[in-house]
Amino acid sequence: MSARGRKATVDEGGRGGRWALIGVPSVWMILLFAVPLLIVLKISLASVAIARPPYTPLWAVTADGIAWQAHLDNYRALFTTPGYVQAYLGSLRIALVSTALTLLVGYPIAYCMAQLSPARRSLALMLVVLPSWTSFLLRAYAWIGLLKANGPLGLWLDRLGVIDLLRMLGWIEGRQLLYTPLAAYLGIVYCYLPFMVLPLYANLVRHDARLLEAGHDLGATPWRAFLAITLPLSRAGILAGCLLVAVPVMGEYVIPELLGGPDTRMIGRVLWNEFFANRDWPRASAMAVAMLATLVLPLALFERLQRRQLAASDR
Amino acid sequence: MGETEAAAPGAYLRLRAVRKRFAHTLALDETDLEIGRGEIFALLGASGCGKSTLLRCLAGLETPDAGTIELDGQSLLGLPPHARPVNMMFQSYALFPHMSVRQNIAFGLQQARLSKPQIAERVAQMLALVQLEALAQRKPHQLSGGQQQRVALARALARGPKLLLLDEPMAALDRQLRTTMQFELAAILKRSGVTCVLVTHDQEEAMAMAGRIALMDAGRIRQIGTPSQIYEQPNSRFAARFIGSVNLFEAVVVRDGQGGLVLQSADMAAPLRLETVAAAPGQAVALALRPEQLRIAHAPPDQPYNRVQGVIEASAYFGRHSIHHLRLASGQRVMVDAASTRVPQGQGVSPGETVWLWWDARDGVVLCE
Repeated sequence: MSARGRKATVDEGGRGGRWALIGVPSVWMILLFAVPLLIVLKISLASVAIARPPYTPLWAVTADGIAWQAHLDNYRALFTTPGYVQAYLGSLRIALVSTALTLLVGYPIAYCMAQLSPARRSLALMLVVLPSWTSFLLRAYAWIGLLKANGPLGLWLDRLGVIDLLRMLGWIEGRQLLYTPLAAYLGIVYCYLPFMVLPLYANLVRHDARLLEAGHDLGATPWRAFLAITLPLSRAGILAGCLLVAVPVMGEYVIPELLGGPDTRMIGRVLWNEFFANRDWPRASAMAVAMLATLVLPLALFERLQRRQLAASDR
Repeated sequence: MGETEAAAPGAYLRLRAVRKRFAHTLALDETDLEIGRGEIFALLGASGCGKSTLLRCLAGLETPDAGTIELDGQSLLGLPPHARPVNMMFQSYALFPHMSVRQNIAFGLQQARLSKPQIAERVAQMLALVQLEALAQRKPHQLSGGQQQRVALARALARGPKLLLLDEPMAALDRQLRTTMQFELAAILKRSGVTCVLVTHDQEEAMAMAGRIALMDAGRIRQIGTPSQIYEQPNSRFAARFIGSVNLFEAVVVRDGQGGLVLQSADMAAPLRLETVAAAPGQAVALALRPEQLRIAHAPPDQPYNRVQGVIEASAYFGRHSIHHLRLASGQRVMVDAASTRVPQGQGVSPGETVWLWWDARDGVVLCE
């Protein structure tokens, strides 16, 4: 066997390895993402039936041939049923407000972290990430314990008059913060904060401190230099953080369910009701598909923007 | 050092006993400095010598621990950077990447809250000064290094500062561009008439651009003078070594009499004679001779002093001049720079050969420090 022959087999092995490299994740994605999505899509086009599974097939074989039974009624219902529309709008509002709140809280944190010395930075990063090591659910339950009327935080909020103040403002009705939309916001901001802080920090830590010095040197007060230099230069980080928070909050179910009380209507809860309580799988599937579509759109936009920015910085 | 004070025409910028200490190092030690109006002044030194700290103290980006800084009769201390009539051209320029050339230049004017037409007029003036009118809409990353430098200069000059600071203005440029930009930048600075302090570690840059140079080392100014004063009359072994190349002969003063100084060095049998300086007999000094002040000859020179024999160790020919490395009997190494116009005396010199080395009694500087 010549060296040439051996080289050929090495090449063959290389090609096989490459296929494996692309193939394994592809199979994963097809089996666990594309196929289930198609199934959901299929169910969303069917009608509800008292059967197992609880929906009609998309076509039926009759004497005349194949009869299509697929329809878009479920999607139409999404727009015509006031409850659904409200739930969508509610989800949208909660997603927007909590994203804004998370940005407001997260930006100063990320900014301060970026100013620390490298050794302290990794400690601060650790502190931001550490809570995520506990389950999402556990942390939501912990907030229940904290916020309930005789909980450690709830007690002090009452004693300090915060509860009365919030009642006066009309933001809450009962004698406690728990089971109000406010508590849902609190929980969401708390749980999603790392998703805002990390991309912001990654952006801010790369800023050139001399740009701010140049700004001061050219007559800008610290605040104006921040507005004119730091803020626009951190746009990509702000966008990434907002998307990372807004998209999952849109479909959030657990936190509003646990902390928010009955008034917090979000699409995630309605979906759960349709699926488990009403056993209307086609309707629930249509909602899921519609929600996915509304989430994919901003993501695709972000993707495009980022690619354009990358191209700009490469030049 | 009479020459030090000679060139300061009515101080415009005045530093008195300015001191700055960082956690473990004394960055600036009791520094005094006076700079005249319209002067282009260079702070020259190796990295960590305190030149950047001094510059940042002038800009207000650092606060000195002690001392006073006055500009045009007004104290700068206590004024934050944004309130000082001082602007800086930063090292590698620190242009705002998200703003166009025009916006970069306009930034300082907007902070001064000038009206829009005033800003537009001033920006146009600045663009014309640095000849970048055609590129006003570009972003910094779309410009070459030299163009970026000019934007940085225009941005720093736009507010009409009383004092312009330049931090390593050429460091971000490649070698070839540097030489041309030095002259171009110096020309723009002279045209604008602004008082400048520039910081550099590159002696050629300092000598090409500045009227006077302060040589800094370990937080102190070691010598101040024009480029020729610093090169021809160094005041210390440090200054002589820092600027250009130098041969130092350790020697003792034998006699300080008529016709100059007589020294004796362990490096050579013949006495050393100097026409200019005065020193006390018995004092240990160093005689500094530039490589181009030394001559090489095959035959013994006529003069019985300022001569020594050495062996050529290596030679290199550079076109305009040649460099010869010699070794004396004492072991001392000597560098000779022979201009090609004086070829006859260096001709035929080859490694291994023993030759005579001599120099004029008018050349050389005696260094006590």
